[in-house]
Amino acid sequence: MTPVLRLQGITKAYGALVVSEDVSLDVRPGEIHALIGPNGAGKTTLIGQIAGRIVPDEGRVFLAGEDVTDLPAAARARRGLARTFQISALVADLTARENVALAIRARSAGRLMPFPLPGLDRRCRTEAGERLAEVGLGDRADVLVSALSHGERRALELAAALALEPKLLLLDEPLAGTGHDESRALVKLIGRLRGRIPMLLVEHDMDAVFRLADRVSVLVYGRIVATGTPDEVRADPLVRSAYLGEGEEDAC
Amino acid sequence: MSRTTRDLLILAGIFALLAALPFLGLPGWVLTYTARIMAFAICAVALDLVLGYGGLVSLGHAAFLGIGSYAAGILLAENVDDFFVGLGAGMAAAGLYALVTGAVAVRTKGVAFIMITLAFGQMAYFVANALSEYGGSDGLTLWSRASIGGRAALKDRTLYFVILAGLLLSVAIVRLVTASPFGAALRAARNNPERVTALGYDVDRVRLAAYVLSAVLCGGAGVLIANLTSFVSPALMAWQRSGEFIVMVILGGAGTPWGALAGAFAVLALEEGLSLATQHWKIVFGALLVLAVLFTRGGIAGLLDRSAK
Repeated sequence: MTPVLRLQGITKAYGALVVSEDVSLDVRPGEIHALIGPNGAGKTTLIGQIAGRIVPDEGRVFLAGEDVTDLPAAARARRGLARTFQISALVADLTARENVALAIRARSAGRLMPFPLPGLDRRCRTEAGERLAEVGLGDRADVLVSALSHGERRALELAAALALEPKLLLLDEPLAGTGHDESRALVKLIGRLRGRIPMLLVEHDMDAVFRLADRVSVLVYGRIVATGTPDEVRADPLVRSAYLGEGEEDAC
Repeated sequence: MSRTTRDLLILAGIFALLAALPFLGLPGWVLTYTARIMAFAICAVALDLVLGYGGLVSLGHAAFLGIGSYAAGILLAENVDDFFVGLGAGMAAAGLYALVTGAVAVRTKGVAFIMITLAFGQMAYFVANALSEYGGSDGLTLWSRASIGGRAALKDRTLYFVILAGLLLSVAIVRLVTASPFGAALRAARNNPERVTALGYDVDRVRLAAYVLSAVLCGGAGVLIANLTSFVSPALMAWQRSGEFIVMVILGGAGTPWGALAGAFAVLALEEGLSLATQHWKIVFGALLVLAVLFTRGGIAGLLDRSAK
């Protein structure tokens, strides 16, 4: 089966600092693939290269078999790559519904028509309501984003990304900054999407990662040091020394 | 009454008043001055598309006005006196200049965008100064106005209504565009371009399209001004005028249905009124502007929105 996302030998350096070194990785259809690594491992740069904001020095990015390495971020999004941001990136002066409607409209041929399309607008608003209900924001649809709580914004980002009906969902630390309850609700929400949509999940919360991920890749100093099921990765001596174990033992 | 209904009523009121003005037996200079304000109001309304809805502060919009008026002026000087040929040429020339310069400018943001549009505006200004064939820095006096359909040159009153129609069309176009899917993407990108890009919208292109449309409308206004004053000069594209357009939009209320329109009338009527009263009018005008910015967040339109609550 063609992987939904394939990274092939991605290399990126800023001067002498190599932030991605020969990174290869597959996200298979239906799986939640987690990318973990200590701070400074190059996760954010890698996400940037997948999304199209950063151009790799070497290597190729394939989306559902198509080489998208030379396409800008907007073109990759139109080909089915949806993402959420580490720091919530929503249109703050619009309502939750309008944010999702913008995503739904992005799928339609009339997305850039320069005159009003009331029919399309109505359809988008209705569908946006359904999508918001799906992530538990049904009764918050007409609240301005600036008035939503942090957890609600994270859920809204998910709803907007899903509204693109993407082939792959890129989740950049979806739990960052959320409280305990919010975080549990989001983990449940992401778990419910398993099988429906493949995801690449970058996350610091190890509990969440090991609960959600089908496979885990570990990034250390720009290199993938291990890929496997959560159990395999947990047992990998290289991972333990580089990341999970030793630092903590030293700290004790 | 919903806010949309109220805004439409206000717009209808403004245009009804402007349409009735020539029938009130006012002295000729009032009509000429009102026509002048209306032509500049087209630029304010057009700039609002980029500034208010797009969040891009262009300090070069006077260049588009100037390019439009030079296109019309040069054609008249060369005895091409059909109004619509001049209008088409002025709009096309301004749009073309915006397409080329905008392609570079929309890649920048914030202060860089202000500076780059200022630079391109000044380029046009200096080119106009160097057009010795067409008056150079002294400007070009036009011996007659354009004509419509081979009839006699446009009379004051006809031209007044042509300019009024131009303003009405500009307001309608900007309203339609901002209420469209394109407008939704443009407005959303003002707040968060990253998010809008991640949804698959090419933000640079959306902004460029708005910039070009805005310039085309300003070019049309330039053609109207050239015919109204029978004179074109580089002073039309001085950067101070670009600044004046920004003042109109901000003072009136950026990104609102009739704010830019009201701002243009407020600024130009105030300038004229104050300059009749004292030759040091700029001091008073400056002070009033500071007060307006301090106390009317959201401009004249914002003031009304707050008092309605």
